[in-house]
Amino acid sequence: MNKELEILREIEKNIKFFNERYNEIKKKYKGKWIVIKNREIKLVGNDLDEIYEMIEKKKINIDGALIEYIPEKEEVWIL
Amino acid sequence: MKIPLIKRKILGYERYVVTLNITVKDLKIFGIEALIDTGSPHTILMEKDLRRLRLPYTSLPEAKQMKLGGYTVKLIDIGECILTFKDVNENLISFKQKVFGGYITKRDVQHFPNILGLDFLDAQKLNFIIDENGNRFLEREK
Repeated sequence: MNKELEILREIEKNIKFFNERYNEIKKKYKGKWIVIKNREIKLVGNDLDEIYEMIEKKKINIDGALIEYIPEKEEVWIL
Repeated sequence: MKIPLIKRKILGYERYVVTLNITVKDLKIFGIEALIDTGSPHTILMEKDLRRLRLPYTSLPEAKQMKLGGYTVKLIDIGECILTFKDVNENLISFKQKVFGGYITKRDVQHFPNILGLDFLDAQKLNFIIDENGNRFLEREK
């Protein structure tokens, strides 16, 4: 299968995984950064620097992975 | 040609994102998402994914600044990129687009999403549409 297409499907699955478990993830990881890969939470960190350090150190391929911050409190941002 | 959008919670609200791959010169970033933001004049790769390029972006010359959500975003010019999307028939579609890298120096606001701005929608003549089932798409004007 075309690699580009496969990875686009992968990020969609990771977004779906995040949507379906949003409340559970929010409760467990508030204030943290997480990386979702292959529909699993692979990494949890306190900030973006820590997340990228872990990615480098563990040599994780983040193609198609969702990198997401879980806010401590629900705030609606207007962009 | 229709590109499907995904609804998901971002910055406290259900918003629409599109998934894409991006090629910057000879570097490729596979599998990221971008928020459709018709309020943004620019298309921006924000810090959480900009880091995938391994560029020393904070020391690159600042092209301009933009206000986003009340914060100042520093923009660096990363030039013309290739953005590749998947359409509803699972065909890949690529577009050339000038993209900025963006970051906010305040460290507790590094979570802003990538933005697919009005510049891209205008250049490619893409409309944000909703079908009878409530699904959202980007669709090119016929």
